[in-house]
Amino acid sequence: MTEEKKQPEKKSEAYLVLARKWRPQQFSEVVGQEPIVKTLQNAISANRLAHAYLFCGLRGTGKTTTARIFAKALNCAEGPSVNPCDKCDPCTEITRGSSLDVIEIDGASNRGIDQIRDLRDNVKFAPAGCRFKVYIIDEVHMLTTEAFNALLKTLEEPPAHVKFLFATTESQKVPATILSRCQRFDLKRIKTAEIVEHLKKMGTAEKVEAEESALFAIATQADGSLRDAISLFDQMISYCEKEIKEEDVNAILGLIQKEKYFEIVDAILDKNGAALFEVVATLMSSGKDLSLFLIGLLGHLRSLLLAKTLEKPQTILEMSKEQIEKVKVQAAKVSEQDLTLFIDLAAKGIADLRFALSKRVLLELVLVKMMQQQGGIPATELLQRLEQMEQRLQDGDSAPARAPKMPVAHRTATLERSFAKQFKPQWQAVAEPQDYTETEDGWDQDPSAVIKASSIVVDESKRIREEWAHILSAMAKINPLLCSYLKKGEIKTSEQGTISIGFDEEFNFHREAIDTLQNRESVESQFQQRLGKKFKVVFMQGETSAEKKGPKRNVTAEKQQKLLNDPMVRKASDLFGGRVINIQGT
Amino acid sequence: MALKEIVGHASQIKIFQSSIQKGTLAHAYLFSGLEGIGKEKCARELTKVLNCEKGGADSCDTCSVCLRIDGETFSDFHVIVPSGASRTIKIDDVQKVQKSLNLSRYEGKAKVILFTEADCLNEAASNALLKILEEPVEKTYFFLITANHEAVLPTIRSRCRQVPFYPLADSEVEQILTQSEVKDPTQREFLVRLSEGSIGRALRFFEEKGRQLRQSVIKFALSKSSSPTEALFASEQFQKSVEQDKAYLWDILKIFEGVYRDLLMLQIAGNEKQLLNPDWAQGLNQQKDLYTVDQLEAKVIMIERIRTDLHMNIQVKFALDYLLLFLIDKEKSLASH
Repeated sequence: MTEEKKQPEKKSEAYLVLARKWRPQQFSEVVGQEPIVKTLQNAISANRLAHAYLFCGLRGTGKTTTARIFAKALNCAEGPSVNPCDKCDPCTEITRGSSLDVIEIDGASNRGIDQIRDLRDNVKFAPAGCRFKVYIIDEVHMLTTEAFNALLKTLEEPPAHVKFLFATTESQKVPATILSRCQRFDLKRIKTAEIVEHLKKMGTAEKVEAEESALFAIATQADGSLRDAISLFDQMISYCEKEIKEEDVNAILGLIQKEKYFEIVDAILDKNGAALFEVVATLMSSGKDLSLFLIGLLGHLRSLLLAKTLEKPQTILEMSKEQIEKVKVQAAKVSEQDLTLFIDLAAKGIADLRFALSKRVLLELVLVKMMQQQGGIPATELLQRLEQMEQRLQDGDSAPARAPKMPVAHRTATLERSFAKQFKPQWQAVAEPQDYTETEDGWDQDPSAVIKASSIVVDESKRIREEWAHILSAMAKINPLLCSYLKKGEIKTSEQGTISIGFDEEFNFHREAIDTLQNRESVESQFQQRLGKKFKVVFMQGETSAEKKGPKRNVTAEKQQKLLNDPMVRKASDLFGGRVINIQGT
Repeated sequence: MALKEIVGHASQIKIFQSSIQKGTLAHAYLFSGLEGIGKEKCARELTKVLNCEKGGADSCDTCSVCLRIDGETFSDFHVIVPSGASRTIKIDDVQKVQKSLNLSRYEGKAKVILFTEADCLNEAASNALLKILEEPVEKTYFFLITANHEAVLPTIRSRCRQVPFYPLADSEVEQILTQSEVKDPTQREFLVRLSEGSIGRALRFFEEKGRQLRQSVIKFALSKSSSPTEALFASEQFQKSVEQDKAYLWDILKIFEGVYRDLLMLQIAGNEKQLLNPDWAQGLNQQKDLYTVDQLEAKVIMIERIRTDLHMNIQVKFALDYLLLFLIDKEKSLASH
């Protein structure tokens, strides 16, 4: 790890980027991860070591570092030690990255099953010089599924001298079977204050002066990642001669002066279109990144919202007193509801701007929308209005005049549901025509409907129909084949001592197959047993499906028409702009 | 060209030069910012500085090393570009880099690996790059360039020193335009507006083809009543230009967007100070009430949608036909959409 970078110029000096130079070598140096460090240290001192650990967390929070220190702690010549000595051979070797027993694998480049098989083959050999053989697999989420699975058995019961340490930023990509075999440690994002503290320490050691506000700007930008902060700090050291100033950080980060945000919000609130375009133009001409501007504007809107809703915004807002006053003044001019609207638009705009053809045009569009849409009807009021309408509908009041004009999108699910609930018992409008008459057993299922439909209600024929089911089940025991064929037919007429059993055209085959004297007689005898009267049974060809539909529909047509003319139905279809396609359950 | 001749980006160049002098140059840099503002140029110049026979904080631009780096024939300078129909950088490409890192330098003082479009690294390739970026071989420098910072894996970003490049200021674009022999000041002015800080963009509209294309797009956008036939005819014309150079496709969409934005601005701001197409002020003013604000918004949103679709490899012909038919429709607004 001691690399020398000779410069093109005469002087040759070793330069290691600060993030690597300052990579912690002791548990105590790890920033902002106390609970994890403490757990690991206790595990060592209590001798309760697991054989597999998984470190996950945001970039630059110390996963690889913790893994390396842990490897050192395990192998330190002073005995597994809470504080590795950093002097003994194992410690120095591990720090140098040359230890034979601490094997650091780049999971992203060695992601296949073959590499894992090699690893598995080597696991059984005892460590060369250290106490434990430690496998550190970094970026473990990139292993292929096969590779993970090949690892499972080894990971569950590895030899006593083996420890696995995994590090990844994306634990959700690691299979559950691996997760359950590891002790998992989630490294926290590092707090801004902790980052600032650390940068200060580094600044002193590196003999660099830095304004505190500059450090804050760096830490905020790093967003919880210490490595990002240190990289930026490093860069600032190169940029600035002696002292790092906030304005330098802003210049490098392309941050925009706070005034611009006040100006733009004022322009929106005053509905001053000219000023709005003016501000964007000045941003453009000074070469600012408009995406950054919109992100900054979002932050500013948040400040306004906080200033409006909180009694003491200064506890949360990280800015100077006079700035807070300014924010308060502007916040007083805008309603809370408009602020949420602006925030919505800005947040959506940030996503749109990312890939936009012209950031300028899209940004302007977002701002114009803010300007135009402010002062709209609050969502709560809209909901209230809807509820009122719903209530009116339920009360059966005549529909309000503007209801039918309501755009489709405004129809609420509740409205539809309450409607359905109300009318379901009487009729049911279905979206697709359901042709129940075409199913072959439609008649069997609902014999009563058939009787009503044909309106031949004679006692005897009614009884015959009722008995038909019993006869069929009796037949099933005597002659199952006949019975199953009979089921295809149905009682048609029963007059003058003759029962005709009709078969649809499509069941001609069945009819012909059973139409023998013997079969007829056996059915006749069944009827005789049941009804105590001798009938003649004939199997005849019935109507085709199409014929069947006709009369049945006609009988109900009258009722349907009546339903269609029902004022409730008509109101409903007017309201939803629909029409009745089918009516069931008449 | 040497570092000192690059227009704009003064603070970025200052970082590099002082890092080189202090010997604190990092091993990996990520340059992000709008396309066509000089990021890649900067990286190439830095490569020259690192390798120049004369040494120093800037390249001499005359030695054989500098010339060969310009011609990409220098053996320690690797440029990785996306390949294939998917335009990605694949894990094979990264593994090749990995292998070449194990070899010592042939002739240069520093090995430089340049990724011109780092956002095109696919997932496997990005992850394979992580470890090399974190602890690389000595005297090896990585320059990753992207116009789409967000598309670069966060773990890669955090391993590089990130150097954001900002759009060029208007004065800087103008300066470059002057150097590029754009003599007419009024033309310079509108090219500056069109550029949005990207010199690459401005120069395309300076060429005869780009200029003509722009005229016909604006004419179409401002025509009062175009029939669908006319729209399809225009679409065919535009397709021909796109066949010659794919970059024109984005230009066409951008010009359309610019015209509708100008109409919108005329309605909202009530003055013509900030027109994107100042040379068309008269025509725009005449047509400023052609569409309502809602309709103009709908048009801009539709153009952006077509842009997304095109990125998903929808056919250019269909996209343009559809767009132009949509644009001539006066009734379409957000509500009907």
